Amino acid sequence: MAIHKPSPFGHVLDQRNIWELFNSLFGDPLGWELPRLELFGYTFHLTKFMILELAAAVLIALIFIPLARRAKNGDLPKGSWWNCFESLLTFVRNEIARPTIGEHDADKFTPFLWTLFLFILFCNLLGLIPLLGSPTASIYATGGLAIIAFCVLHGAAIAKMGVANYFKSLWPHIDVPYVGFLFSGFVFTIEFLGTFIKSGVLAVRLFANMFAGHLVLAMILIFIYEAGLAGSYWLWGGVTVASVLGITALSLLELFVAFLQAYVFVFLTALFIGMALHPEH
Amino acid sequence: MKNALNLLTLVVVVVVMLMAATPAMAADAVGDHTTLTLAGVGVGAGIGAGIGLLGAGYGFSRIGSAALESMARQPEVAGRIQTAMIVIAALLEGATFFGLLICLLVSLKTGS
Repeated sequence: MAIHKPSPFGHVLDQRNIWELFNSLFGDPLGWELPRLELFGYTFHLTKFMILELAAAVLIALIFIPLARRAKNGDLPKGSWWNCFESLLTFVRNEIARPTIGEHDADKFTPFLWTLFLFILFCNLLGLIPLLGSPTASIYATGGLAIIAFCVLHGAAIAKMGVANYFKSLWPHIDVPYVGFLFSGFVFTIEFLGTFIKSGVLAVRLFANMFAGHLVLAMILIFIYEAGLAGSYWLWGGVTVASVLGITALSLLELFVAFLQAYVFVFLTALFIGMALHPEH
Repeated sequence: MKNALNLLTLVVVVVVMLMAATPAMAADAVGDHTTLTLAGVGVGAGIGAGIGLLGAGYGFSRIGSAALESMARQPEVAGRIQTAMIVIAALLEGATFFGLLICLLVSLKTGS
């Protein structure tokens, strides 16, 4: 048989040359060759996750632009889908933006938080559809999102206060006579490096959650293949039943984790923006 | 009802025994078993993942017990406490995954 052993990492990570749809469909692997561009000696691959991110963006645009147009007219939401999507948006505005950034500035950052939330949510949810994958299971995708959050975090405070005032706000006022300067410098360094570390942790948290979740799912399914190698139909049948039931339960957990991780990313970003805009010292 | 439950238990036990008897039946057919030695980076990765899980379990238990106690003391703020509990649990899970990622990276490193 022309089956090579399925690799769990291959199913979770990005795929550059061939988007492998089936490991063996009636004996032969089935894949879709991804387009690439040869330019100046380098090959630019259009990878599977890039296509999925575009699909998520197009889906968001198709759903929410008509919804926004209808809300602008002042209509009340009617029907379950309109209510569902609008409740997502009001949740982000009322429970995430307004408590953390404050009533005054929240409306300036709510569109950014909406975009972040919807993009991460749709990317996470695409991973639950069988032949697709979740682009947030790549450290580069989540790293890019964290870099954007970092830039907004510092940029918002700098736009509000100016560069010098912003760095002055990170400097705490410690009233110890001679060595107060050293303590203040220490805390300033920690606060400044902390913004880098916090953004990095945002990226790694989202990446690790999505990557590990789908990796475990793939490994439990590969148990079926490995049980089939043992040669006994009883073992293979039992493992198949247990594996599929386990996968169903784990996929429900993955659904919850998809929403939760999008919420946590956006909540922490909003918290950091609020902390940068209103220094508590 | 009780007889049906007993019969179901019997069927499940028989199926599991048939599944578990597979290595004995297949030992001659398959033949080659790779011997596993307890050495190398795999041990470190495994132990690291286990210790990370210990820390995560302890942390979640602390979060859960504090949240439940305060919800029992003051039921009117139970909604806010639940939200905070979920957020803190997600942060703790992020830290656990850091450790897990290190274990994965270390165990899959094929020389560099």
